[in-house]
Amino acid sequence: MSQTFDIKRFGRLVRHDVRSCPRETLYTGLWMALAFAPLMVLSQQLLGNEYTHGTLYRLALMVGMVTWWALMIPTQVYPNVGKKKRGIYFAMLPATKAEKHASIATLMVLTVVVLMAIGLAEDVLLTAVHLPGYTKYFWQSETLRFLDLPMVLGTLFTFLVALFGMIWANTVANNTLRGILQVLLFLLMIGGLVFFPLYFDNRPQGYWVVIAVEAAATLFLAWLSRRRMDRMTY
Amino acid sequence: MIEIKNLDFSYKKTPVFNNINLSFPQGAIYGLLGENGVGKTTLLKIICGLQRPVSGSCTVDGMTSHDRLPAMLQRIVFLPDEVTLPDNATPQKYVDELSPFYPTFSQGTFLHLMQELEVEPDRKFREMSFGQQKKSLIAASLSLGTDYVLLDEPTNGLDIPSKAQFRSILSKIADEGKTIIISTHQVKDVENLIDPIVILSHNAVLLDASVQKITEKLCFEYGGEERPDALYSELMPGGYMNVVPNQSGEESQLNIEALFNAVLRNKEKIKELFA
Repeated sequence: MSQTFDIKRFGRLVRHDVRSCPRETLYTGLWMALAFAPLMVLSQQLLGNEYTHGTLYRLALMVGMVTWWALMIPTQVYPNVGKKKRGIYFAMLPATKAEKHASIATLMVLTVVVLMAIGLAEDVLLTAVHLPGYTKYFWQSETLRFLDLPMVLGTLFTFLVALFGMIWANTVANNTLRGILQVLLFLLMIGGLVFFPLYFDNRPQGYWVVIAVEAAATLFLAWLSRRRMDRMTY
Repeated sequence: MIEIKNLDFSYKKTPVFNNINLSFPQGAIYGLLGENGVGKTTLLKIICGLQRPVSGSCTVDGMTSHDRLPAMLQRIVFLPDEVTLPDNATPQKYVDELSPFYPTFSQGTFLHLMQELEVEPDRKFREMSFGQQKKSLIAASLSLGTDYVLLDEPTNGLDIPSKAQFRSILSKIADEGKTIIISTHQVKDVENLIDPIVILSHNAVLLDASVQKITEKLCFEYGGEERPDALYSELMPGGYMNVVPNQSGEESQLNIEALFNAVLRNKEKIKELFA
């Protein structure tokens, strides 16, 4: 077996990381993702507002889900990388450092994609309930226009910048600096997720540049966090 | 074989090891002894690649340990003194997650060891006492079938019957040609088990010798008067126990605690004796 990167071992590692994520975390995450949207709709209707199938609703859904996961993932994944005691188990798993880093990155991407899919599915279902016949013109609907490629990539990269940043921040030895970095990155992610859909809704000029900058930042932070992981001692 | 050559290590500006050399050939239970803070745990961490030496090298079967290559990690298991366990996990789930990475893992061995140590494999860690958790982890670590087993204070938290079971299990494993390195303060728990013995001092290795060599060089006399030429004397029920250089070549029963104290008090003399 390769001592650099072996696809079978990598698959085992991804399976291990998914299995070692506590079930409570998964259930709570799913519950939050599934319950947040109906609660938003219900609260809007209780306030006497009509149900609006639009940006605000999807934005709220997305921010709610991502906020939750951003809170959960650091408590489950990052400590394995950065913390001395818990990190020993992670460091001693027979896989290369590249495979371990790639496994975390894969889980992050999968998490974001799954959550976005849940958001989309909920949006479609709830809109179909409110607007009879909606399913007939689904493919021309606002939902899909809203969640097109730039929006998906933008959301994904915003999330990844914050998450790779957090892996890196978690290996910073100084407790105060680490705390400050984590809070800043978290705020950046929330800010990014609020700002991005608003900014992109009207497709301003040069939005691909913004996405490219985010992609570059993602790659840089992925490299930085990988380097930190390589040099980490326990 | 584990080989440490000209190794220097320090935590920032605090030196821990200065140019130490050690080798751990396969098929023995090594006892790693030393006062608090001399670097016993650090040495174990260097061996399994969790710490990086400042200079010099540490290799496991020819592989540099801090590279932490999968081929090396598959051959070595490290059980730290304290482990953070997932609350909801059970020992069985714990090995289920680990075992795909270890081709030498044996479910049969795991269940046998759990039974011998009297712990239920499907009970949650959070419902167990510290000692039961420790026993589960010992069973899990040993069932992975690695060539090298590194144990840091393994008997901490174990009750008296469990300590005896632990010794018996380790003896069997060593007979299978595995290399076990035990770092401990509880020398009584591993007496008659560890051989060779490595005693660390600040920055250096004070002693690295087999029990046979130790008893060839030193004599442990029990029940007499205190001897002025003794390297170490201790009043015990029935008289003094003296550790003296073995000039007559007579055989004696090793007392690890007394050996440890004799070595710490006579560093230079011990170096000369074992040179």
